[in-house]
Amino acid sequence: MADKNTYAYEDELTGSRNAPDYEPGMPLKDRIRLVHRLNYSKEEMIRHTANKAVAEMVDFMGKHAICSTFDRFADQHPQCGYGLTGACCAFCSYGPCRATEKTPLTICGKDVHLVVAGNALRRLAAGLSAHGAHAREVFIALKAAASGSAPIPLKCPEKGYAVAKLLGVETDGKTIEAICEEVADIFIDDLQRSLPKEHRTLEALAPKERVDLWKKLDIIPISAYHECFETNNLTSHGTDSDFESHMQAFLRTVLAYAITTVISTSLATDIVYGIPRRSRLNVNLGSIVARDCINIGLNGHSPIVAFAICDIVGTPRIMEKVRKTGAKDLKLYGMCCTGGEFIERDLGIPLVAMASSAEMAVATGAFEAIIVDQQDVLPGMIPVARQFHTKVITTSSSGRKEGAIVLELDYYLKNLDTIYELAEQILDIAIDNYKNRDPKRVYVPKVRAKVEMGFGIEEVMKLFNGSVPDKKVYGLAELVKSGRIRGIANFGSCGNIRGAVFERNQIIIARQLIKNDVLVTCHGCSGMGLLFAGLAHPDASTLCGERLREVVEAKDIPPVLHVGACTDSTRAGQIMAYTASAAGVTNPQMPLAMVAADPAAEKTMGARYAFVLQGIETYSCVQDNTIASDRFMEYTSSHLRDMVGAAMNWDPDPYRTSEDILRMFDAKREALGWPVWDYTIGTREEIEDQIPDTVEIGQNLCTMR
Amino acid sequence: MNKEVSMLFDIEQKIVSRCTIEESPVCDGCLYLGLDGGEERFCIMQQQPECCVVAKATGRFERSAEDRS
Repeated sequence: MADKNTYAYEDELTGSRNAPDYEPGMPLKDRIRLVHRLNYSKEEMIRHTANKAVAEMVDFMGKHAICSTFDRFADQHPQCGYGLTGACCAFCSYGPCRATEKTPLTICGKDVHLVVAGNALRRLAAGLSAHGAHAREVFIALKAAASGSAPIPLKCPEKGYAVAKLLGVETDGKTIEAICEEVADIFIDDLQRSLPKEHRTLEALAPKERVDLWKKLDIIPISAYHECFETNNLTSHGTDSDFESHMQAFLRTVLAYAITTVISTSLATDIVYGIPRRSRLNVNLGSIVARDCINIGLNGHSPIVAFAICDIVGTPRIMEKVRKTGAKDLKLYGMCCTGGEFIERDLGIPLVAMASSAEMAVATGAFEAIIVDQQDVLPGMIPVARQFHTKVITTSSSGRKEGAIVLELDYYLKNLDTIYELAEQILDIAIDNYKNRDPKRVYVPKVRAKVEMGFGIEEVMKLFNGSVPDKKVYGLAELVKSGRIRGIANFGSCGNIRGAVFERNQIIIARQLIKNDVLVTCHGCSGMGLLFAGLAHPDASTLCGERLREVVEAKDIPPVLHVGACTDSTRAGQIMAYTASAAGVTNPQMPLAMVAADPAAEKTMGARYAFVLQGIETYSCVQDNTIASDRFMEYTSSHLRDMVGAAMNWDPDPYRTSEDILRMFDAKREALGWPVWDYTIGTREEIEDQIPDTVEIGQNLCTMR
Repeated sequence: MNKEVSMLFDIEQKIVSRCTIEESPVCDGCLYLGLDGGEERFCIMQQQPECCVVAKATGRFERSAEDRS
């Protein structure tokens, strides 16, 4: 959206790659050169990442011959250029084929645009399946909790009531349990249906202006299962070969992803496990208790078993077992989005790693067990665990690991009614394993950040004069309109090793935005980077522009509000849509942005386009394997803006990206007649070299030199 | 802005009045209950405790009556 030649400040590190700029019509070899060059070595990562705990741990692992993600990334060089750009089709056994200038058609006859669109569509479907599997487990847990078929407590029936009202469920004369079961049934129906009928969650939960637009574009999904099924059918051998038809399926699948596997999942999780509650604690590897404590990591996305474990830790029966080992305590730690589910709910469980850094947590040698469910639990973690006493225990039949202990909810969820027995069995293994820990091999970097968590939509409504029945956050709208807050940006998605320095881009962009009075929300693994960088504590107000600083200090809140796990992008979407609605404008008119700086997992395809379809401009610094097709690039970066009022923006330079967002905000403010004021882009010295006071970097406790 | 009274800026207060409520046992632990600086109770569900639909649906009236007895 901005003139590329007039940036106030550009990133020296990105510039040092001498990567060519993307230009439509450029030869494929230059596109490959572009993505090949935008890579960084392990040494550069250690030097430039904002996460000093991970930098220290990766260095430590290297010195002790423990292989990390960053070593495996180096071993993969050079990555396949056709795969990197999306020009490779490996769907059928004719292939793999590549669509290039020399060989413009695959054996079956697809051009490069169809190949790229097909690859993107299949990746999106994989992401839909992943969040969909998580959704299914949570919906079944909600139904079981409500019906009493499993001993899972219904921790927030009040939210169940509010969701039921949103969905138009008749509540009179029904028990709250019956109401919540009906909510579960609606969610399950919209997940699994094959016969077309009204999509109740979409109609009820999305802004009417959006629903009307999506209907006009003919992209209302039948159900999540069906769109996944159809996406694979449509891209199968010799089936659909129309680019527009591929893209229509893409948008329909994005909606299925956004509504059912994200929004409904987040709401159902709140009903069963409780809504976010504000709390202050420490995060990052430095939060791990190195001595006299049994440590257990909870990793993955679908937290059904993990919540059962959390419910019984601290009970006299478990603590008696702990004391018998000689340990003084037992602590749970969150990793990836299962960790995100815990950190927002005031359960005293620190978050120590996101997906790619979980193996660094394991390499501390301080964990008796890592309990994993499914998704983003990298296989590379297993050999790291084997080098220590750490046991990996899998709890989901979808997420087994070679060599791990299997103590899982079975494939048919037949043992959901004995989930607490399962949880205790898992704890027994971890507790018993404490005797095998070698204290001399424990190495915990003393780097941690202080954070304040728990900013769900209800908390934001309390802070900014919102109303649940009105679905409006009136106060926040007034603060944006009047010019105390320039706009709202949400940070989500994963973190990538390729195409970016680990946990650098999103920190730079977030710091530039709060410096320029933008209120930030965050969730998922990318959001965790902002926590580790110390931006999610009220003391980080010192990094804000004067206007935003006045607001966050008056309310005693951080400038970066953490809203939860990846599926809790729901809350960020609610905050944005309810604020726009209170301001009397639509999402595309409002100064709103989504930043998925370094997308990696398949799920991030849907995560980003979900915001685009909501009318929110979305920004990434890592290119997601689609650059071979100008038609796909044009469709997503420009044509979509005409269709839905927002598009995907890609620039590898985080400084330029920050300025693009600020310019977009100001253009929208100007169009609405709202006050506009100058922005200033901070230099590398200010943004990267100055570590906030909210991050503690102490002397290392290393016992193994 | 007087932080003792409200955490809201004037413009936030003027745009729409908050649904303030009296203290009631049916509100205890409710996720929609707001406590502002210890001075004011408000409800983001915009319900008055004596006729609150959430309290009714979730059986809070019965539970608070049991507590009183």
